[in-house]
Amino acid sequence: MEQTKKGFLSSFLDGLYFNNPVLTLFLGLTLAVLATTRFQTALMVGVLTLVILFLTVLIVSLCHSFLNKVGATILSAILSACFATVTMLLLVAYAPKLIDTENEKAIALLTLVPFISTTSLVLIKGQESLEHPLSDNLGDALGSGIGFLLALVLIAFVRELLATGAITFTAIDGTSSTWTAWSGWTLGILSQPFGGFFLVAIFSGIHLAILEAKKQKASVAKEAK
Amino acid sequence: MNLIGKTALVCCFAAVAAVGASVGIYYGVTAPAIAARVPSGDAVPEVVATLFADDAPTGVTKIIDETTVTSKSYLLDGYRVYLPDTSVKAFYYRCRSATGFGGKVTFDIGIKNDAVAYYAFVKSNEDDQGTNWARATKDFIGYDGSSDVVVTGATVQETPVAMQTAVDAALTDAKGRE
Repeated sequence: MEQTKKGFLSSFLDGLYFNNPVLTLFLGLTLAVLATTRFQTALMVGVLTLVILFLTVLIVSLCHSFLNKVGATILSAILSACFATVTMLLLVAYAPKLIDTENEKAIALLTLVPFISTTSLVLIKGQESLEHPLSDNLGDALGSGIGFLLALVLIAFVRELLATGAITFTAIDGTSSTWTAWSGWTLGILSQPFGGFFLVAIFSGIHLAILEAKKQKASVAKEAK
Repeated sequence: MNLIGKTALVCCFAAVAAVGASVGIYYGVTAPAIAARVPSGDAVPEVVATLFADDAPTGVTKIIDETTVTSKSYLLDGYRVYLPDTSVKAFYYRCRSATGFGGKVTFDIGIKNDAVAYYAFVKSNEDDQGTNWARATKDFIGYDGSSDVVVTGATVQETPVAMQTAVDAALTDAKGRE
């Protein structure tokens, strides 16, 4: 397949900001809704997604001369499923209290990690790896992964704070601590799936409006010249 | 080889490697870590191993101090029993009944999640009828102290009631422990 070159930095910024997976491309929305009920959950899912995405794209890119487009998608699915399974096994081995389903303060990673392997973000980025050289793919994977992480963390911070008035952290031994911002009124409905979609829409709207304003400004400046 | 063949080969290899990695990490890392978390305690005594033979206990911790046992004690010996299934809270007690018709019955019970799961007769100086009943009974299996034990086909009166007193003491002790 013929490849087009964009450059590492350009690909990185594209994935991070201009084509942010959640706020612009609406990729990985299942995770964006499910993992943003808590700040810590979003942080951990974001980091795991970044690692799985980077490794998947790296291996698919290295195998590009042996793959067609369908093969790239299948290989991405196999690799991301493998990395997600390995992640879960390691969590069960080394952080059982953190993911204990009987502890309501624990992180629901056993439910969420399998979704990483099926998220459109990893599958589509894996498939697109055939179209660009390795450096571009790695830049895009890093940018998209960090962009996905930042979007999740931003949404989760606002969502948990408004829904509970506090941010809760759970340590690896299962003990939890809570930073309370205020008490009294809370918007409990934001902890429901509606809250996830609502905040994704709000932040996406703001992000797209900023991009559009910049585009118009650049266009006006160009016409003035 | 054409591209489709190469793609199939790469995907098959990746699938085998993925399954291999998952299985390897499970048996190499996760399973040993889970096994290490099962509380081991002390070595399992013969009587406990026999009573809990179906559960393959991994260890015990002594919970009855023999120096505190008196001639009036219902509980002569006891262990917290650790099983591979960590969700099950298990205990072993050697019980001695209150005085029944004319003597006392000594017996072992195994408690799982606050109900009697196993029973074994040890010895008795009760009259023959009571001793024979105590030797044969399975009526304490499933008993959790919430209602009187239902004695089936017994012609004895005092022996089951006297034994129930000791079983109740064991259940109360077990429920009070973590």
